[in-house]
Amino acid sequence: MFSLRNNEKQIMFCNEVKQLLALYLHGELARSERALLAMHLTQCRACQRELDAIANAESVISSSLKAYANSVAPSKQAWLRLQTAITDGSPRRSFSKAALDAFAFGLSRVASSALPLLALFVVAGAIVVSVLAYSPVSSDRVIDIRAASASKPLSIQHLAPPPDPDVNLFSSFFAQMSGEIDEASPIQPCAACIRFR
Amino acid sequence: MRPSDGETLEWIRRAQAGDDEAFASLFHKYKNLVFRTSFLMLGHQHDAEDLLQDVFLEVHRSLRQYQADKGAFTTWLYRITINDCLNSKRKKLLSIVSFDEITGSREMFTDSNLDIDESVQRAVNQLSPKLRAIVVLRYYADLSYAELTEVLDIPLGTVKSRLNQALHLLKSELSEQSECVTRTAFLPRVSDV
Repeated sequence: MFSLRNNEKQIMFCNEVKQLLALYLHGELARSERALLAMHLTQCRACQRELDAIANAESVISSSLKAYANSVAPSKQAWLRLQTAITDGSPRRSFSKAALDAFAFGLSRVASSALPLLALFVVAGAIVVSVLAYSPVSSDRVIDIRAASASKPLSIQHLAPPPDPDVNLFSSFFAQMSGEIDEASPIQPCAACIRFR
Repeated sequence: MRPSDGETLEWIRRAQAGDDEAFASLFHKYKNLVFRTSFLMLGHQHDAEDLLQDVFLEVHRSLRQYQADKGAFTTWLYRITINDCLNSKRKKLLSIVSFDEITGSREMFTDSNLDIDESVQRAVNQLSPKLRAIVVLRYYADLSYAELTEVLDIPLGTVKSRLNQALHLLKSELSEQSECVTRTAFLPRVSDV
């Protein structure tokens, strides 16, 4: 269904009209569109029925929403709660938010009391490790690698076997540890290895 | 735009100057507006009660910023209420609830004693939060298109398209419900078979 206006090519089809019916009812159409749509409605019973259906639906929706909303009211304590919240100067807290805040507060308290202790542990641990690692080796336990190798070969029992004896690095190292010291090799046994021999 | 009445303007002026009694008067005059709008948006009285507190706390905090010449007090209140309803805290409450979730089962609607007010509210609950807001403001609060643009802070074209979309969705949902009721009204009851 469509209408022609003053021989102009202004055609309004039913699907277009149906999109504008609510606006037509609310008086929100431009004058030219309104006239065109009104003309269409005089000729199209289907669109006229659709207009009636929309008007009816709007009436039902409006009256139902109002009746449904008017069936409830805020509690009598609403003003007291608001007064308390305003006096406290804090936003209203729902139960879930209050529980979350309590958890966060507890966490912060635990963190504030535990952090110094943790820091103390870390510092103490660092001191112990540094003392153990860098404690001076007593002079009587210092072994001259050359002297030791001359008297007897160094034991390598405290060392794990090399994963691959063919690897030059390890073979060179173990050769040194067993007394076959190659002075040209860059690998030398460390003081700790010798000390714990 | 509907201007605020003289009594309200006087209360606002006094409340802005720190008069607690004037603020109390504003609360008692507009608590139903905020509470019922929130109830239609959120669907639960407890949530509406919480939102009532939030909105008036916000009003109390920012009442000095309200300028009567820029718009009606109710428009300002609706704007705060709808924004609060749409904010991220309550998105879970505003998520679209399926028809069956609300009722437990669609069979409930086969009862011929279906309450039309509740069925409309259920159909509104199925809309997306933005469409729900425009339906509540238009059909409950009777706001004009111009007021809708101001409260929702969207262009007129968006107001028109959203309202049109919401209306068609509601119409089809309600007609589906009424068909469901009509169909089952003629079915024999189990006890009758």
